[in-house]
Amino acid sequence: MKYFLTSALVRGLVGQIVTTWLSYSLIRSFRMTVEGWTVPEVGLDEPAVVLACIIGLFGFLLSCGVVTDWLKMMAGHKPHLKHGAQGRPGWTRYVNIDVNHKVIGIQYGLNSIFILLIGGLLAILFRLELAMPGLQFLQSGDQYNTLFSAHGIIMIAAIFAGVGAMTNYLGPVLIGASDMAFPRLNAFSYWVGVPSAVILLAGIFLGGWDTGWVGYPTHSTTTKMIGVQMFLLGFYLNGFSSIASGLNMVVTAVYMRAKGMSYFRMPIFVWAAVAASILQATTTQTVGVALTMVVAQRTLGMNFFTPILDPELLAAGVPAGDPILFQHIFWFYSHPAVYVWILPGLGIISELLPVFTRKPLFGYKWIALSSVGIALVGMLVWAHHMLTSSMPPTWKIPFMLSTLLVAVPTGVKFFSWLATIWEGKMRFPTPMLFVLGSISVFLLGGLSGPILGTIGTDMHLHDTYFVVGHFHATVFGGFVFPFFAAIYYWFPKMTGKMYDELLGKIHFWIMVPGFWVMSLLQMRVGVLGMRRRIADYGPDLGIQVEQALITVATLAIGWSVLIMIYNLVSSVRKTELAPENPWESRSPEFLAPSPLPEFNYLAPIEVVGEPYDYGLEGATYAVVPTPAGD
Amino acid sequence: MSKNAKHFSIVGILIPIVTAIVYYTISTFFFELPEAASAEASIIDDLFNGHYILIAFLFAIVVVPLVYSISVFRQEEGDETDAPHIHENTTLEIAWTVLPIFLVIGFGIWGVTNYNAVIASEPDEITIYVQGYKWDWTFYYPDHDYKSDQALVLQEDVPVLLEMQSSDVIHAFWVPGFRVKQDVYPYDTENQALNFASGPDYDPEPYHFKPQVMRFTPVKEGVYRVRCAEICGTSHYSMLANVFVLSPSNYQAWLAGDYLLPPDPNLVNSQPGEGYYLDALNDFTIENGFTPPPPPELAPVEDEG
Amino acid sequence: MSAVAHGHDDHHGELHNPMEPTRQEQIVMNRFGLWLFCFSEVFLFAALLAARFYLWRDPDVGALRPDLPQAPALIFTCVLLVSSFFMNRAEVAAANEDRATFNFSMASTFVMGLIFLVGVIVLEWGVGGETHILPTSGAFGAVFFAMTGMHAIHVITGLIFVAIVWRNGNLGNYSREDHWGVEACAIYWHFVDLVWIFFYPAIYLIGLAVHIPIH
Ligand SMILES: [Cu+2]
Ligand SMILES: [Cu+2]
Repeated sequence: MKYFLTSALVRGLVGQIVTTWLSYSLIRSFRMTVEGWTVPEVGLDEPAVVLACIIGLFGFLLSCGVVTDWLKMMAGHKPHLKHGAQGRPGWTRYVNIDVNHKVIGIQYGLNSIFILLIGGLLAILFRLELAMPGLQFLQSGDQYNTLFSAHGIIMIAAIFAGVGAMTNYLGPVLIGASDMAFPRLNAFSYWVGVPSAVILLAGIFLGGWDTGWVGYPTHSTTTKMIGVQMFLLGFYLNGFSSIASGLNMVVTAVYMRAKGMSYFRMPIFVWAAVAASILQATTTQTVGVALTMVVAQRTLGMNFFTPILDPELLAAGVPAGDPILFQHIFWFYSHPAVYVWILPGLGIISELLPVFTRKPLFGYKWIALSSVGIALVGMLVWAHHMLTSSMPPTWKIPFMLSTLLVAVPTGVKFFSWLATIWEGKMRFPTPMLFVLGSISVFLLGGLSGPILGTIGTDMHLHDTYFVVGHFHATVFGGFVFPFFAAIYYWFPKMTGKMYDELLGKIHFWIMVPGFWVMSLLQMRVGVLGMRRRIADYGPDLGIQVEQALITVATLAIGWSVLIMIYNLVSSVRKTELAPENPWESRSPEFLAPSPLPEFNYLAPIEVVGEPYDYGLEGATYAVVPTPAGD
Repeated sequence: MSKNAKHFSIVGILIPIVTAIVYYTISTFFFELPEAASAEASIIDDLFNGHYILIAFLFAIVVVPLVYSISVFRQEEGDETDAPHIHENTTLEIAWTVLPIFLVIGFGIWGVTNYNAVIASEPDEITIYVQGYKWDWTFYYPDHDYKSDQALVLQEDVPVLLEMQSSDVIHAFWVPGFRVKQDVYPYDTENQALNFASGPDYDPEPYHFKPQVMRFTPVKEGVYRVRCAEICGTSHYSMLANVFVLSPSNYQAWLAGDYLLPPDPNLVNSQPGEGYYLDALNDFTIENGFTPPPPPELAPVEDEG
Repeated sequence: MSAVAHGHDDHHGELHNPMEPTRQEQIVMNRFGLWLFCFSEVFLFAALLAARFYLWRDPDVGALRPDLPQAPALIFTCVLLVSSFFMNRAEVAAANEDRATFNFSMASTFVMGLIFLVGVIVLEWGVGGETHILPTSGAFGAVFFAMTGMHAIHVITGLIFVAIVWRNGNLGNYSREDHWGVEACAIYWHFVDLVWIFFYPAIYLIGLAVHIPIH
């Protein structure tokens, strides 16, 4: 307990809360004393909230200590990297600043699951509300709007944390490195995500917001629900985490690969992670601009997005803002953002399939390059989210065509997976079940994509539940299920213990069919006329049965995740040790001890063959040094 | 090899069967669209149908081999050996990269021609101004200098051009039966000349303001609903308006004031959730002391039995 | 620093990473990382430029720009460009362990950067001077302050960076082999400069000048 209370996490949170509160009161009283500045007597003072939240972030970072080394460097010292638990119990590493990439990966993972549960809880709340027509227990549209808006952005934060977990834990391990290229920056990426999640969550209670996760102006610039500022800031600050971890992963993959590991001998997950990281490190900047602009318009009255202008300015010929601008800049990031989530997930599918089919990955190079292809095409399709906007047809048509083109590299992945499975000798432990589940669910997402890409059909489907079904299938199939597969698969490597197979299978058989029901019915009600983001719907659409079933499916999904958490927690406490290589994998980490040593491998490993040569007599991928006397 | 030929022939037979079953299921039941009520809806539904065929086919060519593999290519109990070392086939890879490109080009061309057909303007369009605001719609008929707060009234088979704007935030005009959807953007809330929600005038000229336009031709008499499709705040979910598509004679009568629209007592936005949706379209009993004429489209109430 | 630093009760001693990159390897990675960071920042500034070209236009006239005083903008732009020259000299001096030139060049860079910053804030933003444009001046004000403000934030970080490197140079922390700090500072400073080369014409030169009424 003493260790917990003095941990970086607690220090950071206390620091954040104290500095936020102090600076809020200071700024507020300052503004009250300045003549002409109107500050509300009751309720929150919006500009003060914004500034206080930003200062609070610094409060967190300084008091948790993640920037201490950098400050020392600025002062001219040369602090060296501190490895290990430094005399404290091992578990304290996960609540303290630690530069080890595996610790950071697990920190991300725990964070991800925690935030996932909050986001899931919000979803379950509004699914209960939507189970029947009429308002059930919510008091107003505002409450509903806050719930779904928060669900969206919180899940996004959870997914980014999950991506961070996978790339951080697996990236260096798979390429045979001891750590990331910039361990301190890596810790920073994780820790800056914590206060931003706090700001997001606080937004729910400090007013809430009703803009959805997209925050389109002019609604987001005019809504009275000032939780929107916390949403914008939390979203924005999370971007620092994304950019830093993206850069880190790219540099790591370029410079820290083991001897003999050419680019086309990297494990396929690393290709996917690098493609995702490039997107993450670049496009995140633009959403930062979009969010900053909304904050600036709300707090400083800068007109980026409102087509309404002071008559005098208008008469002089000064241009007004334009809400479409936001949509362009926002989607330039937010479409690729989805690829940042799913590329690592698809990488996990490609990584695990050969192990459980006992067959080489079919078309390794094609799969590797298709990740890059998806990333590049993904940067050129953003305006397909605006096919019903006032954008001229001359813009809409090119974006329709580029969007359809995404199907090509995605198809390459599917067909390569099928060819990998074909004539394999398949085994079906829980990770493999989740891999197959991922493929099936991602297929639903993929198949429902082109119909949203052609303008005519999108005019009907845009902003309906069809879209909701489509992207939940994409994100579950492309991220959530592969993430779970990865957790089960590497669990013995992370903890040295084996999870419970029966509970794992129960989790699978509840969650995946539950998801099919949910997603397909969401698409169905969308086709019938159910709009997105509505607190209530009428019986005139005739979709009551579907809605009730969706709610039941959601509850099933929620319970199944709790089963997984119970499984993992109870398995960690087992005394029985897992075998070193339970899956008979060829990957280097499974040739090393479990849990992996502090620096992954006792000495540099050497790659001497192809990664997925299952079924080839005498083929080796990597030579991994074993402990002396073993 | 003969074993492999057996696998391929089974899969080859199953793919068309599954394609047919899936196509039948989604087009006639699972993803059945609301009844097409505009000329544009028929055009768009053709494209929908094409997509449904594509979905069924792609579903089959992935799911059939997948399920077949799962049931056939399993590791047998006690077998510790690996599967055959097959790791690439360049012809196959090129084939499944290039063939989809042709599909994409095909659907791209279809998508463009389809879209052009949907937005094509027709002669003799009737222009109606539409104003969206939190959380309701107002319609103004410039040819008749008439403002309708309650409902959009259209004449069957007469193309309309909607010029739309919003008074506050982005809304989106969507009638599922008509398929077409258009976001509606805000313009000057203060300026009466642009804001006919509170006055009859509408003159976009002074500020070069270009309202959003949308065209469609309603083809079926009936009652429909405008559903705001862009999140716009508290009562976004209840930002609805009725659309009445009337026969030419009823439409003329309505313009002359002789045809009373069936009032919809349930279309009240002030009380979200409270009895608001109750069977709105079938229940036209009015407390106001007059009996409205029978609503269009709805078949005359037959005596049961 | 000793192996058992910080007085922690550390039973295991400090763990040593057998695969820890050498300083030279680390510098190579740092350099690549910094270039990637600049590439990432390109997207930030490109988004602002996109906003500028998207909003500052008129359907009939084409591109527009606010009517702002030209002379100071041109002068301060030149000052910033010249500062990059001194930054480069400082880097060379650090590589040659030439403390005097290093000091002079860093000082010049810092002062010129400061002149640019103050110039933008006073003469262009009109803080404490004559006002030509306000944040509330329609899309002109919004985008102008977003572009110059975002650039100014980078200039300020750059100035802090310069100050820290300058001081560290005088503490003797840079050598012929390892003056990564100076190099990083130089890359960053040149990058901030380069951004302005795109921003200056976008704000001050391109399009039809429109006078903004201020009262
Ligand atoms: Cu997208
Ligand atoms: Cu709405």
